[in-house]
Amino acid sequence: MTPTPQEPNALVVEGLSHSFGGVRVLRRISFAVRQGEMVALIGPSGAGKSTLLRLLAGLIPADLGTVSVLGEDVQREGRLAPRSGAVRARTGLIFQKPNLVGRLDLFTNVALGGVQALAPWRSLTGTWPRGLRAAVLDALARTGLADKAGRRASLLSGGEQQRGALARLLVQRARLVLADEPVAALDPVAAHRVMETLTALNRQDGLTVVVSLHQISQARRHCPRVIALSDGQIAYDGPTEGLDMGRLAQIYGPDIEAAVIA
Amino acid sequence: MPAAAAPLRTAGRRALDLLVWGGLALVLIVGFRGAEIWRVGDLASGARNMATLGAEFVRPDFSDLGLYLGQMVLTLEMALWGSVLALILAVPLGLAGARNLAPAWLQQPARRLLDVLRSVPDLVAGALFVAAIGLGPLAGVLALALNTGGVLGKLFAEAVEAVDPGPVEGLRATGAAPLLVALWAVIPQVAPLWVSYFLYRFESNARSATVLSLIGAGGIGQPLFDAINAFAFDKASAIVIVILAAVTGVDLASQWIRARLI
Repeated sequence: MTPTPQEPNALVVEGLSHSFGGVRVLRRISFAVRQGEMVALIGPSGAGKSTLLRLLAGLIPADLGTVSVLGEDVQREGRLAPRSGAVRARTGLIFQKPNLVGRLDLFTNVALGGVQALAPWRSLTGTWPRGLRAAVLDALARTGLADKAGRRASLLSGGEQQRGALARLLVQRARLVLADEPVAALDPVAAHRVMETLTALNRQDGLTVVVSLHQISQARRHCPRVIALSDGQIAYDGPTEGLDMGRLAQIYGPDIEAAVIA
Repeated sequence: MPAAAAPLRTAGRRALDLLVWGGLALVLIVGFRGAEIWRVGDLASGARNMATLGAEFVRPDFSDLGLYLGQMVLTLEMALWGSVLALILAVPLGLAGARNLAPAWLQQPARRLLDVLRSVPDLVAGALFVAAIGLGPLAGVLALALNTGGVLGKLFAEAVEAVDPGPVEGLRATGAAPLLVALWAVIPQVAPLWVSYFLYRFESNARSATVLSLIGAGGIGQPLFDAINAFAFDKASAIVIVILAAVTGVDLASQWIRARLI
């Protein structure tokens, strides 16, 4: 599904700046992502991709600028906007390192996506209602993990854990996915399956996806739109086809040609 | 950015090292007098006393074995309840005292409270409780509970501060409330360590409870103290053997539990 200009915005970023210890990491970043888009965030290490995603998720307050997700403020000029659990649940986060709870089984991990919406006695005792259990099984099937439900998360492979995190995000009913290099630590086959699963959630469920990637080939294969960060600023924002060698050289430096071909 | 190569150890660093080691040596020399280390030779000159003592000890008198066993069981019961009450105290305080979980207004007071609990030796607390609620095992149990609660709370909080932040952030991002994040993402991670700490403290309480009965808190220490005061070293020997066997038994049991849980 290609988003039309009429789609409302899932994410609006205006004048976002951030620094760590006096070093500017992001400089007046502005962009908008429409609902249902799948956007790759690329750029060299240290360009500010992870910081940007953490700011979008509302994990840390920005120095300046605003971020709003589905019409609700996340960042308001240097402060985090207070958000209820239900509003936070609309944004799903995926990191490079899978963040499932290793000692719990996969089913429980995925069910925890819905824990914020349960009555206290249920959420404290782990008594999942029938509707949630059905949603968990459905999400596991969608991510190709139906036969792994009873496994301890720590015993799953990295790719399976990442897909488990995607299943949790389905149960959570997230509308926007922020993924920070979700496949950087995976072998090519596992990485491909995770990206395919992410793409399926984007196409079939209309989830808006912003995913930072190291591999330009993955951005080309899965994401119609690319935002490139370089030195804390947006160096390119447009269709992925527009990313020719000249542009890549501006973003990554002249060695990129050899690196991409290798 | 290029940084000038810094020397590994500056003159200031070396002066500081000298100060620290010199200060440590000075403290040891001063303490030598206070702790009467110069009297260590008396061990040899008192050899005859030691020999008499030793001779009595190799002929233990088990005629009151029934009493000893009853008192030993009572001592272990005190240790068990002291440890369990400490656990009830330590779990909330350990979570509240963890920097990565609790806000500063809660974390700092929780840590200070744990410091206070820990700084009162159980013998002192026991004497106070004996004065407050009279002679008997409960005074010993409460004394153990307070001191052990302080120790366990601190260890628990430090274990929480060392958890992998990934799963915690992951669950927080689903919109789950802080209590649910603690329950589902933190406790599963720290559970093996907490159990291990608890078992160590239970072992150590089994020994402490013996000493506590000297101040009238009931248990095996009382007959031991009486026997020593009456120069009945054969009886004292029997009691010491009972204590050794019981403490060894507790150690073995908790080792077995620990091995199975982790």
